[in-house]
Amino acid sequence: MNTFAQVLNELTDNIYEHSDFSHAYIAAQSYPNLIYTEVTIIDNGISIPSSYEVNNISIEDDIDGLSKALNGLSTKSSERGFGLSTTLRVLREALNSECLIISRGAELVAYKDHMKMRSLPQNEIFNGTLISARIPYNLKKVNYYDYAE
Amino acid sequence: MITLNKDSKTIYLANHFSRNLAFRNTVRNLFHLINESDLDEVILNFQDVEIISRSFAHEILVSLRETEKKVLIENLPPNVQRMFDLVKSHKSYSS
Repeated sequence: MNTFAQVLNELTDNIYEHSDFSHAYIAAQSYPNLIYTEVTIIDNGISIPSSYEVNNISIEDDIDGLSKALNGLSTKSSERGFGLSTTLRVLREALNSECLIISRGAELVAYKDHMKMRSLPQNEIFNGTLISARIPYNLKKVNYYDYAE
Repeated sequence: MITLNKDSKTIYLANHFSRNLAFRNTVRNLFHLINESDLDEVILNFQDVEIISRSFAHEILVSLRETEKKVLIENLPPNVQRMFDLVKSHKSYSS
């Protein structure tokens, strides 16, 4: 439970710190037949790529912007930038979760052992950020600190 | 509502905020209150805190670095202490 709480803490704090949003939601649904719970955090803020742009950090495209966030480049300070990267690691490696991140024109689908990124076509661009995870039932107890940095 | 005066200089974080300390903005508001107070010394008491996010812990350390007040930390539960140690031990952290 503490590990899951840490995930929600970091993702919701990211929204307040970076997104300049007006609306944000957390939704969850349990799927007993599929043996997982899907949790989604979504905001209508400026998106991850735009967050770099408004802070005058150059990005090649939206995929590059999302990649920079996943690699821990903070718009605020060199001491920051662990929220999304650590959270994704915890979700994949500790909680065995499949993850989906969409931010403006970038999409990431992440599994435990690999990730796929793609640019969204114009008609699928999302003005905000969505982070979703399918967290399996019956997880063994995990120690958050084994995955955080 | 946090009241700081010579008779009340200890802030019990779990009571005033939550047993789950998550947001950087909470820390910024807290230290704004501390820095604007007339007290020279304030105590942050972590008794009953169950979870602290990395962001919250980092913002506390940054605020401690920047404040001119004497801010003491008390009753750190082991897992909260571990988060502070994690942040301080990272190569990006400037003490």
